[in-house]
This record gives sequence, C-alpha cells and structure tokens, in this order.
Amino acid sequence: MYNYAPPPTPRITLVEAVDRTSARTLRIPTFRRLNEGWERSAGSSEYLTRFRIFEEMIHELDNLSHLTNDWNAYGSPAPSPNAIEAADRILNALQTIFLRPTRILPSAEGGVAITFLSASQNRAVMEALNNGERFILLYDLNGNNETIEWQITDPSSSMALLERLRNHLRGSRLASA
Amino acid sequence: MKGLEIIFGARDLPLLENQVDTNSAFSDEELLYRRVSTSELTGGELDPSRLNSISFDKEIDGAPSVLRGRFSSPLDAIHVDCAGGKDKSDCLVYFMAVGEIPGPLRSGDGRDLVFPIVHRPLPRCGAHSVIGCCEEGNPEKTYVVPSRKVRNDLRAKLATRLLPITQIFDIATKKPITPSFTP
Repeated sequence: MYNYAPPPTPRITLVEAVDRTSARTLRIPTFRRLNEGWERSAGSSEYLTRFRIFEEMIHELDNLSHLTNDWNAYGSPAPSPNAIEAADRILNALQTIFLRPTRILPSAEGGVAITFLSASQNRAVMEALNNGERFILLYDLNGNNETIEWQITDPSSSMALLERLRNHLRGSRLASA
Repeated sequence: MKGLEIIFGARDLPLLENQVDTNSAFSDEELLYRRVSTSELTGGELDPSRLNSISFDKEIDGAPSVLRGRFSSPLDAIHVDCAGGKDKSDCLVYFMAVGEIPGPLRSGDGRDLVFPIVHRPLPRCGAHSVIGCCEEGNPEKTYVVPSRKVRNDLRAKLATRLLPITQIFDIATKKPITPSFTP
C-alpha cells in the first residue's frame, strides 16, 4: 500500500547548528595563520602601504568638514566643501606619484592646507582656499619663498608642478629673497 | 611704567581698552606676542604651514592680530579676554620684536609694501594690535590688501622670525629670563 504521508522533515536542533559552527571555528588557527600572512604581505606591499597612508590622510581631510567658523579664535572661516573637494583631488594627484604630505590642516584664510617637511631646509604648503585660490608655496627656513598658482583641472601642468615640488623637497635651492 | 608692571607680573588680567594709550608709538625693540596652537607645530617648528592663522581681510581689523608688549604680558595672549572668549590656555605664545617685521616686500604690480603695527584695542584686550599693510612711503599709511604673493612672502618670513616665548620669559615665575651668558 502506498504511503501518502510526507517524508519526515529532519529537525535541525540548536545543538546541531552549534556543532556545525564549531566545526568551522575549529579552523580558527588556520584562519589566523592566513590572516597573519596577509598582514605581513600587506606590510611589505608598497601599494598597500601607500594606500593606507593616503587613506588616513583622506580621513584627516574628512575631519576638517566638522570644523566651525572661528575654529582658531582668530576669526578664521571653516573649510568649505569645495575647498575640501579640491584638497581631495590634490591628495589623489599626490598619491599617484607617492609624494607624501606631512599633515593636512585647516587654513586660516578659509580652506585646506597640505604641508610638506623635508630633511633639508626646504618646506612647502599647498593650499585650496574657500575663495577658489589654489597655490603651492615653496619656502625654506631662511625665509626665501616662491608662490605658484595651480589649476588643478590641467593634468599636464599639475604633474609638472608636482615634480617641481618633489625636487624642491629634495633640496633644490630657491632664489634668495 | 605701566609696561614694566606688566613685564614683572604685577597683574593677572589683560588691560582694558580704557587703560591703554593708543597714541603711544611702537619702538623697534617692543615685543609682539601671538598665540600658536600646539596643533600648528611639528617638532617645535613653526612655519607657514603651521602658522595657519596669518590672514588679511578687506578691512584692517581683519589683519593678523598680535598683542603689543608695552601693554601686555606674554600670558595675555592666551587669556580668555584676548581670545574672543574662548579657552586657549593650551596654546603656546610666540614673540618677535617690531623691528623684525618683514618688509618692504614687492608685489606683482611693482609696489613695495610695508607692514606697520597698528594698535587696535578691544574692549577687554587693550593691547590688541594688527599687522597692517600699506605702500611704502605713503604718509597716511592707507591700508591695502596685499596680493597673494606678498601674503605668502610675509608668512614665510614671519614663520622663521617668530620664536617661542620660553626663550625670554619664565612661565612659572612670570618673569623675564636673564641671559646667563654673553653671546
């Protein structure tokens, strides 16, 4: 005689579920070994190191959007979204040639300042201001300096300027003031 | 004598607007004080990128602020009355002499600009002054807004001339430090 009763459904108990999960978690040491291996390779990967450095810089840049006007008690305006966006583009360009800034700061004139120190006496700051001004200030510890305006939208001149910035930070001399 | 009282710490509050003499001329030796946030320093070094609070506005009252030493002590620079009511007690104080102010600096259009200190007392901060800007030789010293090139030139030079106040002033005793050697 045919039996029309549905086949019995296997009941999955909590114990079984835990067992199955535990079966996987037993492999945690393996996972850890794999993860540590990945971390080691990430540490030796120049690409990932660059990526992380600039990721942190972009995070610092994002934090500037939380500033309010008069953040320094000298009446300075907070960086505008446009200035932050321009600074973001600058960071992208810097990442391309891996020219690492020292810090990202708000500018007293309203905007974002990206600063560079070097082992020599040469220093530099790139500023993207709220009023649309974009420039690089190359200077040294003797007060010599040069201001170069920068049109971020022109890729060829941007690369030339970044190379000049790199050479300056490597120690090329500025004309005496 | 008022200046000496301040230097030797005879008072704790900044002088008020009605306690200072705006007709008193600046000498080249008079010191100027400016507070600097610790976040603006890297390894104790101050440069234009750290000194991100030098700005000029369309009006002279928007020019960079300093306190004139004749009517203030270095600690006034971080006093709430001289910081727009904000607590800036964690800031450092830097100084320079009036004679160290850079200039003349040449602008892109060939004008030579100088930066006279102008005493602009505030109601609760009588020593408040600004670094003005005018064309060299202009007898009326009419304020002009400096170009970007000149502003940056000024910032780069100021950064190398401003020095930490601890070089000449003992914060604990609120007294000037007497050099123990002859340079």
